[in-house]
Amino acid sequence: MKTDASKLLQIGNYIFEDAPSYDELVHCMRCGFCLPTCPTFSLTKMEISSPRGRLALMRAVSEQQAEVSIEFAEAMNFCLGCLACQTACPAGVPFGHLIEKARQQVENKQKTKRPHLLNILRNLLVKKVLYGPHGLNPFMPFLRLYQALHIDKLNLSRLIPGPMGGWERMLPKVPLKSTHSSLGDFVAAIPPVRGRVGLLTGCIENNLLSGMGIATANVLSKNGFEVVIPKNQVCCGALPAHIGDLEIAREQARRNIEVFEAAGVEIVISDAAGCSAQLKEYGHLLSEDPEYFERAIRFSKNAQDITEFLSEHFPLRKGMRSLNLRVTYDDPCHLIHGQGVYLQPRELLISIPGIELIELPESSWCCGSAGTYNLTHTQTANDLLKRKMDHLRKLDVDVLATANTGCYIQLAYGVSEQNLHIEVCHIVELISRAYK
Amino acid sequence: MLNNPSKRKEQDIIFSLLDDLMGSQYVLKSKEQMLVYAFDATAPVTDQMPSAVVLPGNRDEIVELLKIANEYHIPIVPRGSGTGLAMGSTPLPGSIVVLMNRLNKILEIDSANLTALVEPGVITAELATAVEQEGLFYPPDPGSMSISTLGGNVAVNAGGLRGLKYGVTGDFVTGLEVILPTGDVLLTGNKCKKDVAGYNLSSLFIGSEGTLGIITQILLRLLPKPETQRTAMALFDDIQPAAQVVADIIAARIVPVTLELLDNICIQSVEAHASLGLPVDAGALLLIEVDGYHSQVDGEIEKIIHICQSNKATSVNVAKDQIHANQLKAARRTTLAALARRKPTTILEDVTVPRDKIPEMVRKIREIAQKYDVEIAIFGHAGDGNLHPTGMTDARDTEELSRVETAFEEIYLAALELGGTITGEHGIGIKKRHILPKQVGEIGLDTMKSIKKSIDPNNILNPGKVFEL
Repeated sequence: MKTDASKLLQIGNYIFEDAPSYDELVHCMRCGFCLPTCPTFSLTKMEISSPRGRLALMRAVSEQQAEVSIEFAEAMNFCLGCLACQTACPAGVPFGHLIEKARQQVENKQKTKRPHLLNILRNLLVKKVLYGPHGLNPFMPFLRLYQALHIDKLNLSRLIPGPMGGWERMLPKVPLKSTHSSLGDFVAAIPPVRGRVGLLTGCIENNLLSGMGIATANVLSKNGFEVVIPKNQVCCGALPAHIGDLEIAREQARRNIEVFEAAGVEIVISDAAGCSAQLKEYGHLLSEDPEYFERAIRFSKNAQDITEFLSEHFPLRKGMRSLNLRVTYDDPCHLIHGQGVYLQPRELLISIPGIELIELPESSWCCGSAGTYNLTHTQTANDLLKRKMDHLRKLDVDVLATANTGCYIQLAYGVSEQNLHIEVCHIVELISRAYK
Repeated sequence: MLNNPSKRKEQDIIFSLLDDLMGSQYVLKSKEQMLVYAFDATAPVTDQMPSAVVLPGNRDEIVELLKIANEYHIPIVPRGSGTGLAMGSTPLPGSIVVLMNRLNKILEIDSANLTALVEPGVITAELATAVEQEGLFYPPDPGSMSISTLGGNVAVNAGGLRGLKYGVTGDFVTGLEVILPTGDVLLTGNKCKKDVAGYNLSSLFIGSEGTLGIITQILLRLLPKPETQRTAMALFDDIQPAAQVVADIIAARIVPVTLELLDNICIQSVEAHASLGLPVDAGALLLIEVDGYHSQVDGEIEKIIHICQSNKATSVNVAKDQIHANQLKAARRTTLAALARRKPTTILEDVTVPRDKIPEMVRKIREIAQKYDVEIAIFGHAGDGNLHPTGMTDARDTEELSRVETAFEEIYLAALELGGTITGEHGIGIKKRHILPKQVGEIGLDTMKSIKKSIDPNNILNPGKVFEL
């Protein structure tokens, strides 16, 4: 039963499109089971930094009890989007969808208040630089030079006010070649051929962590899969979606659907948990787009994280040498909470000869990276990173494995800041190394 | 909220007194902050905003806070994690909500005397884990133990899954430090196992739902950790034989730790959340745990299996290890919230009857559900007679909502007729105060009111909760 009044509530005090769904909000019955799993609540112990509190605020705006105010915006942006609450929620509230829409409302409102120049810069970043895998290309020679001359050691960026202060300490050692320029647009399989997959190379990953993509293609190829890497693919859209630019995210979704359809691949794989999670969201994201809806559903159904894909094609082909390493694994939030992938990465790790897997306490807790969170909320991100490093320090391990771009950068930053002699890498990098 | 200018001025004075007392970062006043404390876990509730939320950092601040409140006659609503199920910690108009979360230290675990001294904001599960590391055991385990506070547990005398064998929170309280509405500090009880010096004042505050004082320290009894546990899961085609098993186990002189009943709707909802491979087509499920010495639990679990089988259980399985048993129990704790997957408004009740009346109570609940054509899921700690019939509805459908509410009025009465109680472990709050007189009678209610009036003459502590003066 739905009265007219309840229809009206779906808009409430949300003035832009893409309001959080009232029907989804009312399923939060406020049991509080999310609270002990929420990293920001654990830091502040304040309800407003908890999933239950955020949902109450979203609902209050729907019910015209509150506005999309500055404090509302702060509450929504303080959320990491780690989705630990979604795993914990007995009532199945889709917190991820709700927080994205709440942030979309916030961003739309802030756009009207921000200085014009900042909007232009923001657009440039989202629509050009990080729009696809090649946007960062022009900057790479400068970054390489910057690091080669050790200018980064001067840590000049800390003088920049705002979110970009201190970025260079987080920047990984920039590789010489990007994923695309290393691999081209096709990697043949070692016969017998078992199948053909598409590879998403990622916006940041392509240039800054190309080792991940190269290892992924290598492991796929070694296991009999041809890898198609369309050059004109774009970013998965997770970044704009997380910062409240759902329209751009939709545009990117449509583009990727077209590109991979044209490339003739059914299965599209990403080795970055944040990206593979986003690929699986296309069906939801384009649910109101008549032209793309069915294609998006099909695309999302066939999208997979590399850890999932490989463990479905177990056992991995022979030919790996023994690595003789003690390894621990930190679950990327968008793998464990976003996609419910928990066992597969562990199965992969213990399938590598000579690897001893040691569980990291609180491995399901966010490391603080959370997309752009470590830039926008540096202090909170550092607090969470410290918590992670405190657990890590107590383990006697050689390697900290992960499966996502943001986590990779954040964890490597943490390890280097704390002078821990532990290598940070992606699971597929270990497998690829074992094949050499 | 205050239109009257003189009232507004008074509020400004109070706010500045609070700012000076606790520091302004611990005195929340914005609308957004009020909104997130405007509810607890009770459904369906119209959110009610307080005028301020404060986070005292120590006992002395609470003493001063109550003096101010008593002078200006401000309603005070103590709050832990807001997981209550009877509107015991929901704000009142013009009230100040007092969050106890900053008082969250375990002050002492005394292995020689088997006690723990804690502050009220300690999370129940954190104490349970801490004492377990010392080889000790704190049995009360409310469904929300992963986030509920011990102060809140004492205030509603919370139960849990282990109530059957070990009792409820109040059975483990052996002393309290309480701030009275005047700001006086009352100490009750001590570490002694025996103590009959005067009235048992601890018991006065256990289950008082924040209406008599603010608890600032709790002295709890502990037990040695049992040697082992054994957990079994029995399935039935229908809920009625499962209810009979509950009565039969007790009659066979076996006291399990846990004897939990879930009907088909609950099984489906829990499985949708936890994916444990529960049989979603089973009519009912019993989760049974015994603990003690190896020799004892093996014998008991065999007898229990036999009782289940003679009541037409379709299967009885013993959990393969403690990890699996813990998964089952953790999943059981999520039942209420998991039901919210099916319908957004889950109206939970807490009726409790003498244990031999469980089969009859279950029958009555089903008859009443049928009579009013409403969906009522049934789960609960059946072993201690405590059932949680849950009305599945959508608060926006006012017609159905009113049928559910009428059905529950009848369920209360049915429980009372069977010699039961309207609430076994959740408390009265606002939600059940209209029905309290039916259970405790005029003399009972008057006695409670005179206690309240003598301790809190200005009626500032959680006024209107439990009963209206």
